[in-house]
Amino acid sequence: MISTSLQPNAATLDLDALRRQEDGAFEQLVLAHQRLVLGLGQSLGLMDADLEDAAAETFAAVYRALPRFRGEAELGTWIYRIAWRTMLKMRRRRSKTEPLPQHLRAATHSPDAAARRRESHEALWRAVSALPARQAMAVELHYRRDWAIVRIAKVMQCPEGTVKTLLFRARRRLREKLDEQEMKP
Amino acid sequence: MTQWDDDSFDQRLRRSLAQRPEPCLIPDLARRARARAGALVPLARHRRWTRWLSIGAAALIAAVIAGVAVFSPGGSLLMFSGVSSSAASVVSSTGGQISGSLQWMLMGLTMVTICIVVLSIWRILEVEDGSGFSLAAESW
Repeated sequence: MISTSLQPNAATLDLDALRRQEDGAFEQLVLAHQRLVLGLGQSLGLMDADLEDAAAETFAAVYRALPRFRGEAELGTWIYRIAWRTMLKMRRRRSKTEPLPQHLRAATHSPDAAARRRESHEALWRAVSALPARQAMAVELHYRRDWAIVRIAKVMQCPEGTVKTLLFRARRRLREKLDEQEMKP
Repeated sequence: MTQWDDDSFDQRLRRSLAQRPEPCLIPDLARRARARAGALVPLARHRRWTRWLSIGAAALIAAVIAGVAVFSPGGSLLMFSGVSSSAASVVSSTGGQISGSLQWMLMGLTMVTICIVVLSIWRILEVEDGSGFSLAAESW
């Protein structure tokens, strides 16, 4: 695990060096953006080796596309868009071949209050990871990363209204899921 | 489903997701990504050019084979007669400089080469940026 203080500021990355695919600049880019990319994979339910694989595939795609990056969009938005597509593809591929992993299944119930609170959070995270991919993405960016709707729309290449609809549906589905869980004895 | 009003649910969602542990960072991710992109293999740095070269070569071979098949006596009939339906007529009509079996071989080679070219172009369009989506859209 790398300390967050080692992470460079994304705003200081040298775009020209990145376009030339210079190793040092690319390493800085990966350090600056991997937390967001891994978080996206996590919200799509990817874990461990799958998550590492998806992150490596995402940054490989970024590396290949860097010489063509014109800088008209924010670098982070551009990277996130590549990450979104790559991870979506990996999630689809995995869901065709594997059952839902253990961490997305219902948790066991523990007695004390702290453990219950923890379980309640985990139930919500699991529910987010089990959402349809577009909804999970919108929830991750809006609620966890605090991104504005307009920026999410750019990443997902859809109108702002669509993002709002995705968030509305995600909220409704999450509430249903959590209410179901909380009704259980 | 009505336990939560919109605002309190929004708050809960925001608060809970903020507490979600971040995944562990991967120390050698940049190296792994470059390896996956082919950047650590010297030859692979030029693979876009080698790919275009191989397509060019395949296209040239296809053109030569098609030219021989079309312009040799009986060849035009061979090329326009179709693959499956007129095998017998093609073979019987090729009494010229190249034998029926050679023409069949040429036609097979042509088909295979055309398939290779089409597949190569499709593959380039798909893997050029490694993510399987439009390059034009990705350049903004």
